[in-house]
Amino acid sequence: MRKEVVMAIVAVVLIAVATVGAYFLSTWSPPPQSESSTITVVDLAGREVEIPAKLDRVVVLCSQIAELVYVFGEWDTVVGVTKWAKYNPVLSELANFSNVQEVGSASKPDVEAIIALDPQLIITYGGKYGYSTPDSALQAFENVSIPYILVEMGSLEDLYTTIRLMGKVFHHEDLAEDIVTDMQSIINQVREKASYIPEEERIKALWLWSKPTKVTGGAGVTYDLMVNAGAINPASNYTEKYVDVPLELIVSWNPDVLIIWSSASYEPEDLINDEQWQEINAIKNRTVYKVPKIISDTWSIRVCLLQVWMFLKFYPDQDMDYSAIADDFFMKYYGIHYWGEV
Amino acid sequence: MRMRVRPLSIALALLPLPVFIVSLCIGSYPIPPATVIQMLLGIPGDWPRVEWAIVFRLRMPRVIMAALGGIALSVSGASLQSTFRNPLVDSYILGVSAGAAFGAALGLGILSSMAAAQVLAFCMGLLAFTLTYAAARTRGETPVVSLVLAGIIITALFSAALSTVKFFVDPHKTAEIVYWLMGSFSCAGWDDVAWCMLPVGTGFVLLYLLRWRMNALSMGDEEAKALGVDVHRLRFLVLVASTLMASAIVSTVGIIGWVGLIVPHSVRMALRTPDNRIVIPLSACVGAAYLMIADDFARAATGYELPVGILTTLSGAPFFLYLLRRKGVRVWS
Repeated sequence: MRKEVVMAIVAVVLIAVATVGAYFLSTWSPPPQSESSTITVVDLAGREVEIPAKLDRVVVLCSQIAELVYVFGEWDTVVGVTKWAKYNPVLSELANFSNVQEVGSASKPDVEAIIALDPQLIITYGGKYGYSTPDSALQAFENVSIPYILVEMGSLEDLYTTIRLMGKVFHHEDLAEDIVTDMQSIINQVREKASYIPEEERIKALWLWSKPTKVTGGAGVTYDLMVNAGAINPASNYTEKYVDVPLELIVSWNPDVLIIWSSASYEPEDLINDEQWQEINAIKNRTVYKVPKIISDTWSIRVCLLQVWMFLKFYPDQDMDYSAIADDFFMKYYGIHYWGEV
Repeated sequence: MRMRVRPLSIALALLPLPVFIVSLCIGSYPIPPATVIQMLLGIPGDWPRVEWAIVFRLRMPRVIMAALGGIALSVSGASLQSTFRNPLVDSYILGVSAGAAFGAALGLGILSSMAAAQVLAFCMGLLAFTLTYAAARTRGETPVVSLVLAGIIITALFSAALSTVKFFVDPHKTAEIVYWLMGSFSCAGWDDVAWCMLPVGTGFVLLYLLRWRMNALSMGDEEAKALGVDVHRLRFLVLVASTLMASAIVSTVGIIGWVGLIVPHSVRMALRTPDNRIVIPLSACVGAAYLMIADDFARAATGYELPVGILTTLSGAPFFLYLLRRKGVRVWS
């Protein structure tokens, strides 16, 4: 009897200790860094994030941001990077990956590998898309008090905001502003030239994604680019970024130009030789183009070059020198001549 | 009883014809049905060339593909249910769909080629079946239970391999694979009809010729042997024919579920007979009509291209439940 009482007391004490311990662990947070050593930024999800003022250990899960960090000359601060960074056409050519560890991707991050790198900051995609970082991973970063910045690039404006945000994070606000200004300048040149094209001369264009019947709807960066370039997107009535439509609807729209996503599993020739597409003007006129890999990323600063390329595919007679613009841009920001397709 | 069955059988046998014609009149591009009929009858008219192209190049191969898919999945489902003596079996039980899905994922995700996806899906579907059959075969025999279990194991292995591919590829590619898995006739053309015609035609003819032997097999192995049927050879032929048909369809349009369950059961219950001499040909007719109608909804019910696999599942699962609740398994018992 006495033994049972002792065991009960021990059990109660253990439970009490475990409860108190769990409570303290749940409310514990590391001591705050001194104010002068941190800055506060607002990410694309609207979160205020306190990050170290001086960064030398950053994990970047967005290849476009990794590219931007390279352009800022801060590549040495990157200790972990998305596995897709090595497929980025610019980074794969220019960046040194020997001291940078692959840590999965934004949507499937290797959380333990990231934490093991002891980063001061993680930059990744927000939102609830297939490429977004899952909440469970973000929670894990919070649990170990690693700050993270969420970026989303649903439009060109989002992209400009992201570039400025990264300028602030890496203390290159001026360079970030230069990039945005140059991008806007190039895109505005296109918009201005497009604005002079009479309504009746505007072409109808479609952007085709992973399958030929999956097209850009009335939202997203590709939609912005098409509108800027003076094209009419017949699928703009759909509010989605991507929409799968019946092929005969595409035939009824009869687009003059078809632009194919660079990573699509089919080529322009596949459509040109497909008898089901023969009644479409773009097929008859052979105006079907696949976006060159080097300018394919609509969330990269290179998107302004895609804008010019697209405009000239829509209106080949327009007076713009794509090669010169692309070469100037590459020399200024990557320090190398443009080597891609024209 | 006979008087009631005969007109119904004739009606079911003729069903695909009106459905085929109506399906050709349905689509996003507005073409008057009278014009479509005129075109089909070869009556000269002054319709625009684009309308002719829509009917003969877009709609017709797609509708024929849907009909072929319905025939293949229904007939293979009916044959396998009879051969396995199990009403819940369809052509996917042997690992065909999992193998084909893995093949398509390799083609789309790694090789980035639709043509490669189609060929790999077909080959992997056949490979999955071969592995299932080899795994189930012991001492020169292939017991039904072993086949079903081997099918589950091989399906699990290919599903894991599919998940591995999906895990490692770009999220956009993952989306492409997932979309493929839902099944769709959206890109079906005459090339696809040509690709499927031989395996589906061969499989159907073979199963049609074996229909009375399958009746013997459905009574049990011992009874079938007593009737002089080579049970193992017959079962092997049915499996090969069913797999050939299902692999060809799955490799072309993705995974379309429930057709192989719904259609044969509907036919058996409507005609109140498990006789394969009736069930096999009428499953082909009803399956063709069912999938043509499902695809009509997929392409014309909204402004979107809906995956037909979703529609067959949404319509098939409740209908199957209704059939079970209403008539039970009396036809099988």
